[in-house]
Amino acid sequence: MSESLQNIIVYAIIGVVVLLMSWSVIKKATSRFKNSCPGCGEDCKK
Amino acid sequence: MIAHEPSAQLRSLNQLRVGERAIILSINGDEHFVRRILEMGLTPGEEVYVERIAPLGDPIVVRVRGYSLGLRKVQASAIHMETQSGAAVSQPTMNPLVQRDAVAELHRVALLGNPNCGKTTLFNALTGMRQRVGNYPGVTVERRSGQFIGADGSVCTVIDLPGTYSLTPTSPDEKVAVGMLRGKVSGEAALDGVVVVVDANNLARNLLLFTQATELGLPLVVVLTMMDTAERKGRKVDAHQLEKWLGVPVIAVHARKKIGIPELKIGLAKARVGSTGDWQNSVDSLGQKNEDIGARYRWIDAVVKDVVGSTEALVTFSDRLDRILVHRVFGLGIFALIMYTIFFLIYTVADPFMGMAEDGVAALGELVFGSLPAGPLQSMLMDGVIGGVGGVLVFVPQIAMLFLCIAILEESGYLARAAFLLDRILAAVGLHGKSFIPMLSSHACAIPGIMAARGIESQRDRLATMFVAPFMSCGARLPVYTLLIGVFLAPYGPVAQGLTLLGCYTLGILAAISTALLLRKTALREPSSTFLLELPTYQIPYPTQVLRVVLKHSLLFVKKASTVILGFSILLWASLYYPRMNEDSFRKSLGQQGLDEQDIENQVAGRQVEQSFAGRFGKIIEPVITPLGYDWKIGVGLIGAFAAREVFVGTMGVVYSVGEEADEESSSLHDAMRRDTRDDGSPLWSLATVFSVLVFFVIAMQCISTVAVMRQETGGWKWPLLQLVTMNAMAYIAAMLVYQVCSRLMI
Repeated sequence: MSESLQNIIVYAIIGVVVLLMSWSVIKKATSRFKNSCPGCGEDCKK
Repeated sequence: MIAHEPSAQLRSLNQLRVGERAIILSINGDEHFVRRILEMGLTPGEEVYVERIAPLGDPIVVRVRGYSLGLRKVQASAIHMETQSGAAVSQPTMNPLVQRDAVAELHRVALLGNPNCGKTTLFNALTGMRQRVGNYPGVTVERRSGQFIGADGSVCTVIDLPGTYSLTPTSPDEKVAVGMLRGKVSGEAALDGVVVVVDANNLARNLLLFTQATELGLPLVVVLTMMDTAERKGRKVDAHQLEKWLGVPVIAVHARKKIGIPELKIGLAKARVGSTGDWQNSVDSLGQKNEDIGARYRWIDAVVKDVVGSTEALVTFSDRLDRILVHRVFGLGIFALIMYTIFFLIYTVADPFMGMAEDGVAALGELVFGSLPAGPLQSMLMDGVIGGVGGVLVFVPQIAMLFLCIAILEESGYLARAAFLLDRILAAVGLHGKSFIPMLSSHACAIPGIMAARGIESQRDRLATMFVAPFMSCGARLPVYTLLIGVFLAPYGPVAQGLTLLGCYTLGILAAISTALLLRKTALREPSSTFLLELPTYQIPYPTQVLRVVLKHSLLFVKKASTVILGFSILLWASLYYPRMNEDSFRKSLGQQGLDEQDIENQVAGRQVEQSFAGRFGKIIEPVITPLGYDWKIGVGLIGAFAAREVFVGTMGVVYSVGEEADEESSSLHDAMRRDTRDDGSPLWSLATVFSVLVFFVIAMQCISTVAVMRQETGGWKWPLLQLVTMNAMAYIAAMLVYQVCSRLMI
């Protein structure tokens, strides 16, 4: 596998990670932890 | 004041000696205090037996209405006793409640009961869910709902309410329960009925809640739990006879063995609206005045006398065990021994499994190395993913061991005893005996710990407990401690390693104590509240329940490692790997200096990391962290740890892997850290630096989730922000002091 191909794959992975983590932060910020305990992951209300 | 006719030898409860019996004459104090004392079954005319006194002389344990209750001496001093029994008072004849017609089958019911009476076990048995169960009051602090198939095949909803001693709530978890029952929770559908869960061991006190539930106007079914332990105590309850008295279906259930569950489902089709009884004639406004409690208990006493085989208390296994575990002299020593054993087990038992996990991670690294050519992808997989995530995953055995120990303590019933033993100490520093349970839970994770503080009635004690709970060394700190102690204290032997670890945990507790004292003198000046704690019967932990807890938390740890930590490790790797410098010209200049090939490789790798994004960022923050003895690499690790503390270990794995020239002989993280030096050639990781980092991690508030839960529990940003600033300022100052003092002592 050439270095340039490896670079493309790595950039793609980093892009996906950034997207997923941003989405996770936005989701947490907007839900304001109302439905689940952010520490234990349990759904405390349900 | 509530009073009984006096006779002779008047004393207050705190003046009685261990083994003495006396009759309650009167109770002084404010209305809330008197009411709670009465609700716990200490009514005028009732006999009380002093079982034991805590090692430090306070609190005391009394036996009343067949169960053990811990209370402080200052509260006991408000209860006046007569030590010579008065003339027998003739008991008026009491009548069973009226049996009304059965209502239609219930499809939305709530489980109502005293704390620790088995509601959550019943909830799990009904729904097949796996909510946490413990053998101490206050495990359920938030209502949970689940579904089950009723006797007629329809889907029913059951709500597990937090335990409450009465329908006049005092603590936040009790308010949750009563709010649901009274239909005062917005957005919640009304209940069809209530399942009153009654612990057969404490029939009298549990029936008090039943008498209040009859006034809700909802159909009721009573479930009798813990019949087996009641039988062992010689207090067998006749469920059929009880049903005749209560006027609603009574079903004996052994929830763990699923015995009685089908009968309960059928019973829900026969639920009846409860009717009020003889107690109603005694007072005008039920539920408002303290006098009605005595009237209710008089009716309950008649019921208990009729349905319980014998009211003579036998000396049980629990009593015998308490003579040792809560012993006046040895109690605290045994407590310390139990705590030490937990730490010992975490290290010794988990160690071989950690070795196996390390071997597995190393084998995976070799596999990747062999299957991919050198390049960014290989580096990302080896240094970012395996170095970061693998470095954290090897701690799963220790996390599992920690949760195993805590689950066994929870299940056994020892936690309530520990709260009793430590109340005097905790009260002296501005906390509460019940603060122990949230603080112990916080050793696993501060979030359930903070939520467990809901069981504390007083807002002042609750706030103080929540504020200091994150000082306890949680499971996320453990990998950091283990890494640093394992690498840098190893030459000093296992005793030094054990003592350093114990020191970390002790420092957390000391930081909590000093902060609580500070709060008591500043923001939370009100006097401490009452201490009333039921001591549950000991039970042998159920292996399936314990394993379920261990598995759940271990999987959560793995999940965290494979999501948050994986993401951060990849981003961190990228920030250390990019931008790439022009290696060729740098190599050429080094070659001209006459350096050998190995030195050139090391210098190239070091320069690459230094000019990476993370390296540049680390250099910017270096002036702030230099007084603490840290370089930019540790600084980057500290910043990453604000996402999750374990990320620090992953960061070290990535930082030192990227800095290394990757080959098959690539040294472990441990060796790389040991070899790392400062610009002047002195080792970066001197003992002064190690202790400084450890102290920072012990004290600092780095968990954003904990901040969020504090906001949720306190209803605003004031306390979480105060906590965040205070803890991090304390951590910075303490770490700086440790480094400056230790480095001057040439450590």
